Amino acid sequence: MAEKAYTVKLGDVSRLLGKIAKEKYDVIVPTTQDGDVLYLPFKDGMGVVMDHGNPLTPPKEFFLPQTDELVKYKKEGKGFKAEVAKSSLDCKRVLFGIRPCDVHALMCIDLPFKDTYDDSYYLQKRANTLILAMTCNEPGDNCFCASMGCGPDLDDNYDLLFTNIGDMLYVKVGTDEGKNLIDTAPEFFDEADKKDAKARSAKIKEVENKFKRKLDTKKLGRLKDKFDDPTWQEMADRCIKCGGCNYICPSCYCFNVVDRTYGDDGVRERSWDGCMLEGFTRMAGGANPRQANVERMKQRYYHKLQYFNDRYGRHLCVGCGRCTDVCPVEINMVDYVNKIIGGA
Amino acid sequence: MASEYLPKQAEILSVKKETADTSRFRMKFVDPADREAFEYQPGQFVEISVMGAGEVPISITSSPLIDKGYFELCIRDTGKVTREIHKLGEGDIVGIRGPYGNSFDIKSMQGKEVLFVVGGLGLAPLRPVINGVVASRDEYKGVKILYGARTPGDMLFNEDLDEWSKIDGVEVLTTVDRADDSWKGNVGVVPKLFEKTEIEPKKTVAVICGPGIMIKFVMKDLLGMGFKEKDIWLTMERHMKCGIGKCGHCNIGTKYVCIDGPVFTFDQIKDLPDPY
Ligand SMILES: Cc1cc2nc3c(=O)[nH]c(=O)nc-3n(C[C@H](O)[C@H](O)[C@H](O)COP(=O)(O)OP(=O)(O)OC[C@H]3O[C@@H](n4cnc5c(N)ncnc54)[C@H](O)[C@@H]3O)c2cc1C
Ligand code: SF4
Ligand code: SF4
Ligand code: FES
Repeated sequence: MAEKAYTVKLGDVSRLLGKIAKEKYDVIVPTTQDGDVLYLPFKDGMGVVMDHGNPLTPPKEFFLPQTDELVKYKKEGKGFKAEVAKSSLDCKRVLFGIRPCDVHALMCIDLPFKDTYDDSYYLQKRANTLILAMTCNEPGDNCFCASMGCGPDLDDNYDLLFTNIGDMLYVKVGTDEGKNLIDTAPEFFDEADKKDAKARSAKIKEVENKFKRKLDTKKLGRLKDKFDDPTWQEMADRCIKCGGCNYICPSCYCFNVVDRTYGDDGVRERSWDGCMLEGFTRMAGGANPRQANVERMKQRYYHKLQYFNDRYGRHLCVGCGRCTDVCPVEINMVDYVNKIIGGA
Repeated sequence: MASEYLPKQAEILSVKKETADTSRFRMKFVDPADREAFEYQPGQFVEISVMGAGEVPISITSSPLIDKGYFELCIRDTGKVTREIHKLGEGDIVGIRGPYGNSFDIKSMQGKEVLFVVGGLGLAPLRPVINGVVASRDEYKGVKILYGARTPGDMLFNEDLDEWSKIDGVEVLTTVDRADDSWKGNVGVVPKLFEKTEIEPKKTVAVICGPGIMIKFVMKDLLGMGFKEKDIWLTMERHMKCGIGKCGHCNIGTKYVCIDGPVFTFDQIKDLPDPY
């Protein structure tokens, strides 16, 4: 064991986060609102949820907001003046409670957003956000992160990593910045002992054994010969083309760009888009290379489970199960893909 | 914060009407530093924007060799943004990002005959390629330009076609889908022009740009003639937003047309789902 580990009492977490918030950090936490667990900005006295399953919406909105301003412009005479829109994040921020699967989703988005050109808007938010991840407490009905190698534990890409081991959180340190955070509030941390470490391993094991769903990832290579499988059409026929699976997905990052003008002033902003929507590839004059829904269905699945991996060396699905959770017509990703690849 | 999404200002120097719906815009960057920095290769494109309307990808139709101090875009009025561009004239300012995308490696074609097979607006991106090849005409075995348009009035760059046809070793053949009274030339789709000339597939590279349906037929003919897949070059068109490999719109298989293309050889794209 390399790094020193710590524990924090569950009852102290809220005060710990309160202290961090008083330092120079914005703090985002999972909390309950109208019965759903959501990530929201921390306020003093707010209930922080620590025994939940994965929140309904992923934290991608803190890095790639549903709409994000890119450029501000002002029309002037025969032309315009334009400047980079002020970033929505120019201070340091702490994201507490993010799950391993959702951390992996950010690692996915990092790849295209650093490919050839840097996407400074996203990368700045990434660089300014400390990842205080929490290993999974309880897999949801549709979760299969373990199949994708994205949970329930996390190997790296965190500043601090928490595990709920009963009446306290076990804390692993991933970076110097994470360690500094502990040093700003040392009164809340005790050094972990062997017994705590054992409790952590036991908790991870327990969760690993609870997964109801498994994607047969070893057979995913077969997809390349399944492009004409009739199952795609079956799925496309059921789908009502709502795009929910795109929007809710923690690793879907496609966006549209629109200009909004108010008088002479305006802003060019981007907003989430989705490959399941018919207009996504439509070109001037009406030609559309993915006109039929079955082509869009295949694009989503192949991009997630083959193309992205061929280009970047990892899949664009982290197994969070949310697309299956939200699909109004119950298109179950694991069941369908297993059926297509002849998996378990 | 630096941003690749921030457009630079370019002033329109002149607008030349090419056809009823297509004009050539000559422009230059307002800031001399932007002018200095703008180095492009045949086949690349820019993102041009009119604030309030949006941004679209357009190929650069000028040649880095010939056109110094300005660049040119040939734009068809087809929708929201292009309509706004067509309302502009001399002295108006547009936003430009780029150049983006890869380019045609014309050096690699030296020693061979270059066969251009072009439909409609496809001549805009290929114009600097043709100019690049004919500028070192002696380095190539020969040049053939097969160009088709819907009607005689839809033919672009008539002066260039004229100039090119006068160069020794350059053969220009044109055709239209629908003739009018003034037209004395060929009538029919572009692949029909293959019958009118001698092509030696082993000693030729083909460069194609045009509507998807044209590409489909041309590809079939070229492969049938025995062209090697890596000797067929084409450009791909896809809905684009960012132009820099982020927004996902132009994704097809493992490729992003905006950063890996728009120029491909056939062997690179033949296994992609529905490439054209
Ligand atoms: C690499 C490349 C080079 C191009 N070169 C030229 C050129 O030299 N001359 C020319 O006239 N046209 C060219 N086009 C096509 C041109 O981009 C479209 O005609 C233009 O985007 C239509 O936009 P619009 O807003 O006027 O039309 P709308 O139909 O209102 O389109 C709305 C939006 O959809 C997207 N879009 C629609 N059609 C296309 C398309 N064909 N390609 C990419 N995005 C599209 C754009 O983001 C556009 O803003 C090129 C396209 C690509 C991809
Ligand atoms: S595709 Fe579905 S299961 Fe995979 S990461 Fe996206 S929402 Fe989660
Ligand atoms: S959520 Fe379901 S119905 Fe909606 S687009 Fe996705 S697959 Fe289709
Ligand atoms: S145009 Fe955005 S990824 Fe290619």
